[in-house]
Amino acid sequence: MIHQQAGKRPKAQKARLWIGAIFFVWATVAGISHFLTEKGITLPFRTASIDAICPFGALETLYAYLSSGTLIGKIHPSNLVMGLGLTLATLAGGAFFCGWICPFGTLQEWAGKLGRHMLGRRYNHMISQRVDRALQYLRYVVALFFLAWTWAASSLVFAQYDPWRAFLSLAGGEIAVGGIIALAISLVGSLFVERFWCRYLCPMGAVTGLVGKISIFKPRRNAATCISCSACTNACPFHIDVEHVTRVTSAQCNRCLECVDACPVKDTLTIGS
Amino acid sequence: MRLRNSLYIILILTLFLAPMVVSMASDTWTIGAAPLSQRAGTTQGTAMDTSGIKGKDTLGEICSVYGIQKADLLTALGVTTDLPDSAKASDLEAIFAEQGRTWSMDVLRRAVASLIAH
Repeated sequence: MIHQQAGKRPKAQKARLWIGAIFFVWATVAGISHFLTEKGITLPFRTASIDAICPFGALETLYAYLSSGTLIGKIHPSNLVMGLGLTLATLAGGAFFCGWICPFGTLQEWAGKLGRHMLGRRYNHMISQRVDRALQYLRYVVALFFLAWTWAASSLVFAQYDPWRAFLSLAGGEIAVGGIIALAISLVGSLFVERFWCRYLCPMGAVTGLVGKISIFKPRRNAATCISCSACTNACPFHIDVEHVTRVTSAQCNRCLECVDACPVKDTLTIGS
Repeated sequence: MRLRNSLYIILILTLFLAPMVVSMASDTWTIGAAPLSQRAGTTQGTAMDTSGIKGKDTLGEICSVYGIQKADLLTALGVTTDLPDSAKASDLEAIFAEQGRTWSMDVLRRAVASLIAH
């Protein structure tokens, strides 16, 4: 049964944008408040360091925590707590964090809306699929490089190259040149390619993507009722070939549910175990 | 939105948020942050990284961890008032204000770094 209404944004996408916006506001307020507090501006509430509300910090301190029971500099118990939540969520639902929660992902999507407005149909189709696929491996290199460096140095080296931290530091924190360059590349890149940072460079996306491959819940296609209209593949921001698989196991899938929403046949593309 | 999608979203959000809520409710969210000795980073047994110094750290802790003298630190900061070891780094802000100088934690971090370097 065909159920899609043309031109109407599916409710799942509305929910995703709202949830993303809420986490964006929370993380931004917390980060900026902390910088203001460090500058001596008294606020009616206390906020943790921006580094304390990043689940990637759990991975960064993992070696020190397991080997000596200590946390590396700037890492708090909150990082481990968020890391636990992220692990549970990813094992159950894949890289949901990336598609629904990550504030930097949300920021890139907003940049992408501007890019779509500027470029029309050329948006997200300016790089050949072969080059796109090859570049997607870069984030594994980035992840391995920074985890090895962090574990060896026992300090938060990624902070100097973190585009999200650089974005918040524009409000008054210490400016890291590497982070500002990463931020500029990510936002300018996102004008042309959907979620440029997530797609090619994000070390945490590399990890959640790999763990997501073995997650319980994935988008599943019912081949018996599929009409092979390609709507799902065309809707996927990461160009995953959804219409030719029965389970979406790609490490790039961030569970945005664009494919599920695009499917015109009821109960053909669903989230399932 | 399909019921199945809604349940999926609620389940995953719950799994992500539950540990955070429990941690915040039990007041363990950021309490127990690493002491300065762990935030300092060491090279050949010597504390080198000053970026982890925070306003809550005491002068005694800072001098002990980085192996510097409190008097030298106060001199480097241009502070003539003798402060106890228990004074917090953030207490320097008031002294700077009295002197009409602009305070930021980076001033202290740079002063410590320059003393380590010598």
